[in-house]
Amino acid sequence: MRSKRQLGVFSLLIFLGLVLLTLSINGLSKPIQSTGVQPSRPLVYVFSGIGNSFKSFFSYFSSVGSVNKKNASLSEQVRKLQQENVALQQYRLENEKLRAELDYRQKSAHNLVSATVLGKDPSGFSQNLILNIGKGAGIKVGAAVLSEGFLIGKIVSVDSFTSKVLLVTDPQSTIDAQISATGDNGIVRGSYGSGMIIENLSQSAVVNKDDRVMTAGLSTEIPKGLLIGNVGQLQSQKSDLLQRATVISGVDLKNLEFVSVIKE
Amino acid sequence: MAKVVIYAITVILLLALSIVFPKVGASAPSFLFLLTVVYAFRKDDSDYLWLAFFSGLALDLYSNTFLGIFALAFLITALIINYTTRTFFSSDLSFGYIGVIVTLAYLLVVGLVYILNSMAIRFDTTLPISGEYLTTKIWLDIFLNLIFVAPIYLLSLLTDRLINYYSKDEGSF
Repeated sequence: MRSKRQLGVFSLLIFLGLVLLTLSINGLSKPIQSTGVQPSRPLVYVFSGIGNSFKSFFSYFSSVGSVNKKNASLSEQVRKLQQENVALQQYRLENEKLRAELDYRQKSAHNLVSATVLGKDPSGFSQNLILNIGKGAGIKVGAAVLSEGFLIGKIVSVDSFTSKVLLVTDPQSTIDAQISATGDNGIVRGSYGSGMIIENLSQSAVVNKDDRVMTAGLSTEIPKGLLIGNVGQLQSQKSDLLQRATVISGVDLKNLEFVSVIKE
Repeated sequence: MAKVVIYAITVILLLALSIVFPKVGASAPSFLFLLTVVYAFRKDDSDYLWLAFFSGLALDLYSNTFLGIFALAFLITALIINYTTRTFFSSDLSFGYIGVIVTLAYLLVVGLVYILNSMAIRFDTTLPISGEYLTTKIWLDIFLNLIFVAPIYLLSLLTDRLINYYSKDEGSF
């Protein structure tokens, strides 16, 4: 009896799942997604604060570990001072990041909108960020997202109050790029292992370590001349038809807190 | 009613925690997956199927995949875990046993998501996960999930206690 009921529930849910999947494939699921995201949004805001505390928590333990090696008899007072120190260090880092972002904004010729990173893709299958600005701030799909002057990704979906960024290190991400020093064009692609890779560079292209890699501006959404990173190591062989090399971003993409979105 | 509310709060809390939890490399524990596994392992009624479906759907809403893919993958995985556990095993709970279940279930979820995506992209051009994922990231994901099985298991016990407590209250009215 019980297994019959389970089978009934299972069949119903499978049918519901297939309906949702069909709607999604046909691009008809946006209203459902927007409505479904609304109830959890306040909790996501609350938990982003707790998530940041996790970082403080882990850094606190690492600092206590190193101090214990030097002096095993730390008093409770010293421990409290350590805690305060960690908190102050967090504030200082946050301040430095904000200053760096502000400095770039003042120099930039683009119309930039500031955003705070709320979180990342919960599924772990792709490298996304969720920002605290959406359609209300004039954000559109395809817009470039920068941090301290480096391109870190592009907007892939927007709702009223939040937007989703696909990071340049995600394997789905492809960006038209060129080597700044020589003007040779290639494609920067995300990679789980190496972060980013520039590929499709012609065999005649001269690629040196630390060469700057910029956006080529071949697509309409991402303007030309945005800094993506610097060339790391050449990965292709001399016999290869096309060259490829790793690209190292100038910002730490795992610890982004504040970013800017280009609003054209 | 109390049961639905408590389950909904649990799913939303774990979703929010998944979104902000710090990453280790490119990996992070999947709390909603663990909730699905633990309930499929523990429960004998159809609650675990609803929970699996809505846990997956919550992930779908915040992920870069087609809506319904995680919901279907979690649902099928939950049914298989429940069926195999009830049919083939009668041993008491042990960490080794749960570890094996979590590992196999995660591989199954990844496989199902990959298959469903592959079917869906015949109608679209984007590919939300790649084969590269299978070789470079999956093992760290499993390791992190194994670390967090125990807390999620305890959370499921707490959730059941809350449901029993409030269900009694509802009964007394």
